[in-house]
Amino acid sequence: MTLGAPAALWGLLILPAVLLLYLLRARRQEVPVSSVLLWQRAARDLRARRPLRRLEHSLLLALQLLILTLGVLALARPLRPVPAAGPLVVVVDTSASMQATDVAPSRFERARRLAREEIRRAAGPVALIEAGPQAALREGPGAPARALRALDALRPTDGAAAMDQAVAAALARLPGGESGRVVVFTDRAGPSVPGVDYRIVGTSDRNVGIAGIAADRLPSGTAAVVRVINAGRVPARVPLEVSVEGRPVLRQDVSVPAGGSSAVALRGLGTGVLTARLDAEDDLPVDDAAVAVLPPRVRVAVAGEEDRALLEALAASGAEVVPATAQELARADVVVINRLPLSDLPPGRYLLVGTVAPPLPVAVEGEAAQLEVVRWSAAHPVMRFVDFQDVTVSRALALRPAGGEVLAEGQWPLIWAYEGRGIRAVVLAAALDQTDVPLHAAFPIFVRNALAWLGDMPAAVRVGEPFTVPAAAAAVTMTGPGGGTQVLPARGGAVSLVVERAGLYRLRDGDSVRLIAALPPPEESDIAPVFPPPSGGAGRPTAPAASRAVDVSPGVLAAAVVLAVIEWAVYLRTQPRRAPAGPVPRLRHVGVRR
Amino acid sequence: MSAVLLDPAFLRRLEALALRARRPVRGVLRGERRSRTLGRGVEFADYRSYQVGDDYRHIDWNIYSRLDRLFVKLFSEEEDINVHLLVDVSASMAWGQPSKALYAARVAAAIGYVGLLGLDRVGVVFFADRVRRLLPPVRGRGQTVRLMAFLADAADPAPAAASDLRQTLREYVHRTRRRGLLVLLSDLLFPGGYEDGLTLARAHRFEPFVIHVLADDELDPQVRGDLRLVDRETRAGVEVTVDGPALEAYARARDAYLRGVEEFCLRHQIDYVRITTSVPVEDLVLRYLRMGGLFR
Repeated sequence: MTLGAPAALWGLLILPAVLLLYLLRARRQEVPVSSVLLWQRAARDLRARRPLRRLEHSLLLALQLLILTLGVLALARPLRPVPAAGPLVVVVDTSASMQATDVAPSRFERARRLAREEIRRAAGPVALIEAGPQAALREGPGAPARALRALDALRPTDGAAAMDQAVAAALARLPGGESGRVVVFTDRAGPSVPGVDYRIVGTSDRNVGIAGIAADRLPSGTAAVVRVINAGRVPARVPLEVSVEGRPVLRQDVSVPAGGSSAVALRGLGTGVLTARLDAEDDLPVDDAAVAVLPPRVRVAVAGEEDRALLEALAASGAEVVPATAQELARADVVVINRLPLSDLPPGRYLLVGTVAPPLPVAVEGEAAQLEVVRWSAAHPVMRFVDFQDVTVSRALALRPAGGEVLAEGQWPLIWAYEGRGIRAVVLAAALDQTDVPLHAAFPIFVRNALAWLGDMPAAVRVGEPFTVPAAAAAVTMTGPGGGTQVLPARGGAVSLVVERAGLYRLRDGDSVRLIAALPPPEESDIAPVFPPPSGGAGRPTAPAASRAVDVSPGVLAAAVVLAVIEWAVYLRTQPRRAPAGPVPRLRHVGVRR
Repeated sequence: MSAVLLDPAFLRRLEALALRARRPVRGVLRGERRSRTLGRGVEFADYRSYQVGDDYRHIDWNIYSRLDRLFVKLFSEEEDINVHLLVDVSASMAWGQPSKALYAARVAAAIGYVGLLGLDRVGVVFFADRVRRLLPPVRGRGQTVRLMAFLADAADPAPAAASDLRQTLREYVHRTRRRGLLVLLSDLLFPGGYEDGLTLARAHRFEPFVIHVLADDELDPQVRGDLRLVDRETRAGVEVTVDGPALEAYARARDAYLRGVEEFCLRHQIDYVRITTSVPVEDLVLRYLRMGGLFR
């Protein structure tokens, strides 16, 4: 409801004036009468009926105030938005934060109820888009009843919300030149776009959760860091329990500053499934528990020329180096090939030094001399903390990649990473004796990162983020945290998948079983609702074209008139009527004389 | 002064009237009222055998011709009566247009005038909380000017004081030994009530005749709104919102009050006439008081 002439609301100032008149009316005027004898007797009679009379007076006052209010409202021209007959696109956020229980029963259920009401009000076709880890059109545009059924089928996920994609997809559903609306039910407003109306659910930011568990293989064993985040505005102290394969390894209270995080480090954990639990009293339970898979040491088979710097870097990274026998090559997690020409690479994970082979999509165009590294990636996991400043390369393969990602390059790529066709590979274009890379501190870090990237059969993934696992069999059976199984066909020796629930997944590939821990995105732990910018800014909630406003002032005025008639009737009831005993004769004789 | 109270034409019409006591009363002097004493009068009472010394003019010759015996006709002796005019001059009587006090004075003047013409004794009492002024009983046509002059002062009400009929009559019945017709002209709005006073008068063998004088707006109040009504006599105040329900409550109280007066007067054999000041005094006296038996 909006007002066409809000300035008319100043007229409401007349209400105190009416009240003042009533108060002033209470100052009684003194009037002399011949005698108050009969008035005193009448007053006794009135006192017996006082509750009713008080009610009449208060009713009159209330009616008058209501009539004035309605009159002023009518002058302010109230406008009721009426959904246009154009299409309605409803976007429902199914991210993990929507499971917060600060509004009963949960934000998601509240959003679903509001969306249901909005769909029932719709006059045109309705489309439903789920803003989960991926934006997905669930229904329509079509009949509202179908959208309602699709809405009932929605379930909240443990992932993030692809809100930008969802809003873009919703806007794409609106035909050009026709009025339509996009209504987004979420706890975090997305991009401010004209025509998009955000309905925010949620009130609280009270949440302490496990933002992530990082497990790392060290020569001395496995270490893990449990990161606890506090999204609330008050510091929290919560009990944390960590166990590995059901065996408790830690139980302590963790202090987390308001809006900050704390990390708890654990060492010498061995292998298995690590479970961390917080006993937190907050509004989001989904991030109070997390699992991680502590992987065994990576088995690395080294083939090709033997290089001491390479072997030492492999050993320093905690890998188990095995000879490149046919049996070990099949069992190894990563195969390192140093300057060994190959005709074909089977699916697997490879660190190639000074060599490439089909089917990798890279061509070798001779040799590059005096390659000077001028750019290297900082975002790729292989290049994390790797600094190739002052690295010199006397000679390297002149690579011309047709895919993958160049991680370091000068005139030609020096390091190239590829993932596809069942193969994950990192290629170092220069042989180790033709560069001073092994002499830099970056080299063991690079080797360690490469093994981590190559040998990490993703033991920890984020819910909603797609990932790939190599698959030897034609299909992989995945058992989720709830016990449900799913058969995933393998393509190109790998299975790509996305999970929507946090917890431990078991992937059976033939005889082998991989454990994958899925965690909610850490940003979902911050459950503070985000509201759209105020109206009039860049993000006007509703575009005028999306709905039309109907002036309801005539109806308000009619209500005021009806109330005025009622008030008049009540007033008349308080006015003098014919006395119950009839008129008193001006002369009466009661005679006893005969 | 008499011209102020009653105009000459009205006075001439009053000359045809005479006061009539409800029961025979014994006066002191020969008047125009029947007495229990049989004797010279105008109204036949009985026969008795003629005795020496009887006035032969009273012998009934028709009976003598039929019975051959002398019988003398006996007549009710006509006597004077004492008329006590009690005029309420309390502050409440100053109300109305004309004021109830003036109206009562004019009615009293008319009654007193008729009484003086009929050779009755007429006394006037102005009272409020007690006897304020007194005109002792006078007799004869020559006293009419004095009576009128005295009654003309009734228009000046007494200063504010609670009117008290009981105290007034207690004082008056002990002051006068002449019993007779006691005409009370008042609005009967006595805080202490009217019952004790009238009962006292009846107990002392007075013959009360109550003329209840009210103003029209006492029957149907014209005031409206949130008011503090102040009693002119007692200065007591009543806060009331005069609206429909309040007026209905007033009407109920008024009717109950008037019905109580009527029932009391009937129960105690007291003549009662209620009048408002809008009724002309001439109509009251010439029609209603005559119909009510005060005049013949």
